[in-house]
Amino acid sequence: MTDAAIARPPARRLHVLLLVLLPAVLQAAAVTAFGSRMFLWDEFFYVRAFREIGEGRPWLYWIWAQHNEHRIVWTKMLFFAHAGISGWNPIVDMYVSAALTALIAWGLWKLYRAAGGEHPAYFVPVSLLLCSLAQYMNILYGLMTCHYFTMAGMIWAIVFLQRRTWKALAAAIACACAALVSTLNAIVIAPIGLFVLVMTRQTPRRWIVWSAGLLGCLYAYFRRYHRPGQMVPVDWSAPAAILQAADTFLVNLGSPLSAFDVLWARALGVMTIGAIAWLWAGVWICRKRESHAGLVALSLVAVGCASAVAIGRSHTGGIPGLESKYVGYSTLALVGPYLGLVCLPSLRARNAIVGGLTTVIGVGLMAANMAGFERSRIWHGERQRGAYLLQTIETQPDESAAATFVVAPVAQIRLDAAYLRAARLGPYRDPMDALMAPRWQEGQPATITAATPVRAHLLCPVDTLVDVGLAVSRPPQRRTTGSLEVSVTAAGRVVGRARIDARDVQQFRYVRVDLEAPLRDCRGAELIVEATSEAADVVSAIDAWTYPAYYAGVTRQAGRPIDRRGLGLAFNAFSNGLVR
Amino acid sequence: MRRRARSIAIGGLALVLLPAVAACDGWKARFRPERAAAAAPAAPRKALPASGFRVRWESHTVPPVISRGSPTDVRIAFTNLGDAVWPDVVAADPAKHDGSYAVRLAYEWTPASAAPAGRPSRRADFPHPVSPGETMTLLVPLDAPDQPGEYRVTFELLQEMVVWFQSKGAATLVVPVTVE
Repeated sequence: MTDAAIARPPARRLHVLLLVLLPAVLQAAAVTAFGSRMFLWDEFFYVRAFREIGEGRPWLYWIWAQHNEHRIVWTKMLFFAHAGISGWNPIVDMYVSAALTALIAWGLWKLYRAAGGEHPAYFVPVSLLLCSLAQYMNILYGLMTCHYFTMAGMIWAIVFLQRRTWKALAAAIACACAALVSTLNAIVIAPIGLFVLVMTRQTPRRWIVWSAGLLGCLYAYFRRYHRPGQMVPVDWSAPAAILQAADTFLVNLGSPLSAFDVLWARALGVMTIGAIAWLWAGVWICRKRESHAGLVALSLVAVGCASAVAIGRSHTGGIPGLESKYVGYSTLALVGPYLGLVCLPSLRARNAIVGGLTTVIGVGLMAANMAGFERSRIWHGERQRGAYLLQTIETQPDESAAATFVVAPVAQIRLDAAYLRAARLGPYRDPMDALMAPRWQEGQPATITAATPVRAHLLCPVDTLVDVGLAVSRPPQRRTTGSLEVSVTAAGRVVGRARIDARDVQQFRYVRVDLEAPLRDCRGAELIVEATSEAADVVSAIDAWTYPAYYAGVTRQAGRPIDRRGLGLAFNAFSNGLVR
Repeated sequence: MRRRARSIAIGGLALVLLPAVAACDGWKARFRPERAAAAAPAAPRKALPASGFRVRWESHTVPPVISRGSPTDVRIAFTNLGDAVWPDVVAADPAKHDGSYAVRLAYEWTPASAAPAGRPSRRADFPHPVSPGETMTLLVPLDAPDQPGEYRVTFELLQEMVVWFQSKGAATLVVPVTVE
């Protein structure tokens, strides 16, 4: 039955191709818009690996080495393979994740077809769920290819298990093992695969081969395995800990459509559990155990992974169930029941349930994508600022570096950064042409009135100057009036000017001055940035900020130099996404 | 048969590719630092080595004649001829950044008739560390004295709390100026 269904050619191949490619294309578009070359958290861990390769020392052990409780073999092989060409660019990994999404979508289509699904239109919500920006963290973090390898491996293992040939069984074992050596979440595929073999009434000999294959793989995985220190098990004797784990489980299942709202996630988690239960009951009642084995298995994968998140992460603080990186697996908790119920036409109230589920998915996807879009924007800004901070780490004090690079001691990050710069890897391959005040904690206000304008005479610190920002603020007790004008002069000509209403300055912000045209070959040229105000006295004036010297220049207020401090200027910060 | 041959070819390629890549010197070379010196940042809270105090004064824009009391910003360019990074305030001590161990430019007006006395008292900070071979250009506020006469302006480098470059054999820059 299932073999025949899988072998049957789809009616409209072009539609299917589009549905499979749609999530990959949309995901690639998100990477193009929001991807950054900046490394994040655990990626810094592999700087040492590249250094060892460069020094000619043995390095292959890195591929099998543990990464927390996972081994992420394919992820490491991927970036080792492309780093020589791309300069270790995590954006390449992000595009590979997008390609893997197509592979995942193709596998899901196979399961849908195996369950008797015909119409491509029912698959549209699945395609959109797979690339939802609720997964922005997976989409925009290079190392997260590990989750895509895991999902693709598990889904294709299920696809192959539904076929009855020995070759297919071998392929299923290979896919399951491939998933397992990516992330440990794939451990759930061992019992779930057995469940698929039982549901599809395959011979006990095949159960034994599957079990033996997976046991061998698990033995290899756990040989010389070290339990990571941060993995604290749930205290099953404490009711509060159990409740916390249960809540994490529920929130995680509801996370794909919740738009990062915990209450909605709980409600949607309950709905998802209901949909899964309905699917299981429907499959049992309608006697569709063989054809629907794959889709039921999908729901079990989601339940298994949500349980893993609940057991492994519920005690870590925050709301781990809602984290974007876990949304990929919990998406399967929606996909399984949705496609499964679509393929149960004889089930009572099936149309109403599928209609309701489609509506919830449609509305939820809109909300999740809107929230995900905003978070992606913030994520991109943070990565850009991180890249800038890393590129200029020699001028950054410890407190600035420590706030951004929490993954390792600052001294280690400084050494890593020096290596990355010298080898031109990661963010150093494409340095930003920008400058901002590094010692921002040491800022001092300079109140600007009509009688005390501030004027910075400086040497341009960037190659091509596009925009200039002036740091200003208004103390809460002041009632500011009038306007503030900022001008940029080069070679005796005003090349940019901005005027703001002083009442618009509610807190710390930058006054943006876009130059009429980019100033090329600017580095070293003399510039004058002047801030003048209409404020008659101090109580109606706003403050410009000055910082310890970070560009070559002299700042004067009312004609007198401010000793060894420079006006708080940001060069090209707007065009590089460092300031919004 | 053809299908099987194709599968074997792909599998074989995958098996061969990784060890081949791993063994390839060209691939490994891409992860070698381009410049060994660039890999070593300025050591915090350390005196420069004896070979780190070499400087060449490149150019300046100090005018020969200047009006008394007038504010003038002058460009001073100099090159690090030593083999160590000159730390700025942050690189000298990223935790405290209080200025100790930082390399700075010091400068002072002195009447031309007066005997050389003391060390320049005014300071200008570097905006970033200066690598060996790098030329740094600073803008310095050089407000002219109120009394007309013949003066000299002296520029000198020092590592704060450690040593003046001159005492390690480095040159200073002395420019005669007439204040009208």
